[in-house]
Amino acid sequence: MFIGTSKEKFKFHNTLLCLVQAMQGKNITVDLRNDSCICGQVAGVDGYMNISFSNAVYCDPQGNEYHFDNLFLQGRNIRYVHIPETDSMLSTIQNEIGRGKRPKPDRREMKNSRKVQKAMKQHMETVALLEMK
Amino acid sequence: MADDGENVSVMTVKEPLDLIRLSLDERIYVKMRNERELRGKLHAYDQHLNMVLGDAEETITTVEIDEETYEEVYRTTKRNIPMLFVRGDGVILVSPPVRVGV
Repeated sequence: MFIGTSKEKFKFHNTLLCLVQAMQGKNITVDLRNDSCICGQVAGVDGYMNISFSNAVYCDPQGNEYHFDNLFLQGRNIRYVHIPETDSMLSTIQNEIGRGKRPKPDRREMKNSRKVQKAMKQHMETVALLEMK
Repeated sequence: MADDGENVSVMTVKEPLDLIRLSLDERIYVKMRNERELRGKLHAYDQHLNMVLGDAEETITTVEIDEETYEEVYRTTKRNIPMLFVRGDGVILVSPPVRVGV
């Protein structure tokens, strides 16, 4: 289940953010706006596409590599996210959106509440009275 | 059913983003900031123009000044990425299917 403010939840359900969210736990490469890139395992993604990595390698444009056990990346610095080609896009999104959602209660199976039953009974009595007249 | 789907897409072009919807599953051209260009098959997009491109080819154009002649030399670097998520804030324009050879 996606945790965050209502604004973050809105973005998650209405934009492709859910796809980045689905990368959680996978090893990905992210290209940054300053031409450097980060390879690492995604620990978490929030509603602003900020990504936290575990076991990440940061490569700067000069070719130097720096290793970090934990790394936080601000979302607006992202240019590209390389997606590992494992499963289809659509099923990934559907799984991600549907995850943690409560199944809809089956209306047909449910009995009417006592209040509804009482109201229905009164209604039927009124209808019966009207028909008698 | 097939022509039904086409009718629906023709009928509902109400906003600019609907034009991009017509390019879904087609190869498109995307111009990015910092002299970058992308060509790839559009799998998905959203209102920020975040996009998912399949078989993407990125072209980076850099300008260098020749040491001797002082002429501007344009150099292009290309690379291929099988599946790429593009963050929308870097997108300048999206163009519908590119013809082969362009």
